Amino acid sequence: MNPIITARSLVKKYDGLSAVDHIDFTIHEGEVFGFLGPNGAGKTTIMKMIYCYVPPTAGQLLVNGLNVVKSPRGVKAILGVVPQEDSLDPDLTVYGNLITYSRYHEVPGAEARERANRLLEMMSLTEKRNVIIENLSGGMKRRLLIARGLINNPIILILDEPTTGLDPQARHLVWSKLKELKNSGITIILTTHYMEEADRLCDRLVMMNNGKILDKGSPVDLVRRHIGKEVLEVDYVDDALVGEIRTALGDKFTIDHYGDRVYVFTDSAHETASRLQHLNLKAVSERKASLEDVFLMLTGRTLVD
Amino acid sequence: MNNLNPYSGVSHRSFYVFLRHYDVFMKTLSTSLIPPFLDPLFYLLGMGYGLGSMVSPIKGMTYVEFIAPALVASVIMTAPFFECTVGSFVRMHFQKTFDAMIATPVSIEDVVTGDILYGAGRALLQGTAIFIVIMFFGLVKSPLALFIIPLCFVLALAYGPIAMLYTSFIPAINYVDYFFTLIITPMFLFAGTFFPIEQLPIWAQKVAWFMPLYHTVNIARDLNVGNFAGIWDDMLWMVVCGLFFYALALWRMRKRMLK
Ligand SMILES: Nc1ncnc2c1ncn2[C@@H]1O[C@H](COP(=O)(O)OP(=O)(O)OP(=O)(O)O)[C@@H](O)[C@H]1O
Ligand SMILES: [Mg+2]
Repeated sequence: MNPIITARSLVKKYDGLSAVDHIDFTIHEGEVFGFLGPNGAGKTTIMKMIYCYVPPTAGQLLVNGLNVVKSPRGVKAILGVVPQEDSLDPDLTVYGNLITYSRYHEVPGAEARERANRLLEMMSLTEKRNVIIENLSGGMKRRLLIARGLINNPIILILDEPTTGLDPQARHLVWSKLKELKNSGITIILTTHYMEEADRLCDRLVMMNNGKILDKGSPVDLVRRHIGKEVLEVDYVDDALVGEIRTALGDKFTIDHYGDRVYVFTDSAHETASRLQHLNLKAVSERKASLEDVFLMLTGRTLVD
Repeated sequence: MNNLNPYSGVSHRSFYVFLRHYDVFMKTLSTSLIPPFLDPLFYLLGMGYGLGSMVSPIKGMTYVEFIAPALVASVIMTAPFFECTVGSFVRMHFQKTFDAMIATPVSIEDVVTGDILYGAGRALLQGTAIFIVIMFFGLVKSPLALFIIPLCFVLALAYGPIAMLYTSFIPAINYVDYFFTLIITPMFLFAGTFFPIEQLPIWAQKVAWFMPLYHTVNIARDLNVGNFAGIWDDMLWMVVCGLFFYALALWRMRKRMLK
């Protein structure tokens, strides 16, 4: 597996605030790589450094062997960029957006028209071809942004929250298209707040907070290392209840509480629940451990603060 | 990219930015074609024939002959000034069009240059419209005056950067008002457009000499009477002014956009 993006001790400071704080990561050719973390973690800042919109304060960032500071044009030529913020051209139609964008990438005219039509088809936007951007729904805009990001046949596709605001059908559509793209060999970098999305799509991901990477690995690996197999959830009443659960189970279990729920991480939720029967717990639920549990465990406390 | 040479970020890709603006313009063609003809017509009638009937000839020209070429010159200034302040700021700040463009091999310098080219295109269109109007009134005095038309484009290239530089500093659209009031209005009135600068006090004449519009008006007036030899010192001034502000605008916009 060849590394296609490498960051070494990457730093981005905005007058004093470290948005990205000495980060290292390597993304391999052909993989789907995710960046997860709460609002303000620094995900978008990393994306922007990769597509040469934000210059790093320090450290090194290589994309396909090119330094983002020294060769921005070369880097941007091989990237498809789907930004978090809508940057569609409101003065043009749906089709006009794709054609105009293809010119920035110097895609030859006939080829660009063919690709534009194919991408509209792929994103189920053919009917909206001649509509101006203002008259698209939020989800259609996001799909058009994805189509626009593919107009130059990128080697690396950067998706900053690609499915935020999409309805379930559209989200599944995007997921299946991304899987196809991955199978065709393209490298995909993704940020998301949907754990299910990260779980389904990402080969590897990093969890970050406050500009730092907390942990990295495959979704399965992260869940196994941090949580185990299953989770028992009960309603939070007060800290005394958490104490009672702890007393009943002993030190071997990790018990956490975020918001109005208490979580017990275990290998068998059912067996653990039976050991807590005497407490008359409310709204008990037993389920499989998920990436969301890892996310909350690693970043949860700061959210509660 | 060479950090010491602000021009080094400019490439042929600025033409794609220009093309984008051209496409948008063509969509609204029917509404954008009429005003450029009506505006100068009203000025000619009101200022030239109305006010001019009370004014004695200036340097051997009737008043309307005096202001006709200055009207062409004034849009060489106002068209790119408008485009590269309001137009560019809206695209940069509200529409995020700049962001979209510079996520491709197009550089911020290409975007700035494309906007300046388009501003010059608008000046060409509006200048030509005025030229047709004054020709219709018999106010064009020499066939050499036709050179004013391509020069509308060329000279406007010196104004776009001034507006771009201003745009690179402002945090909100309403700051454009200051540009109109403090830059456009004084130039429009005092750069020898509606009366010779010799009417001004000496200090003000010196200030007026530094206004690009003063030199643009000189060029337009000289060409209108066929005095080709008279334009070169003013041309030189326009080129120097243009290159100077172009470099500053490129440098400032890069600083603003890539933080
Ligand atoms: N241009 C800027 N100037 C100053 N601070 C900035 C700028 N852009 C981002 N920041 C700060 O950098 C930090 C990281 O922001 P970033 O947009 O990378 O977060 P994120 O992980 O993408 O969050 P979200 O999930 O909300 O999109 C935040 O504290 C943000 O306020
Ligand atoms: Mg973000």
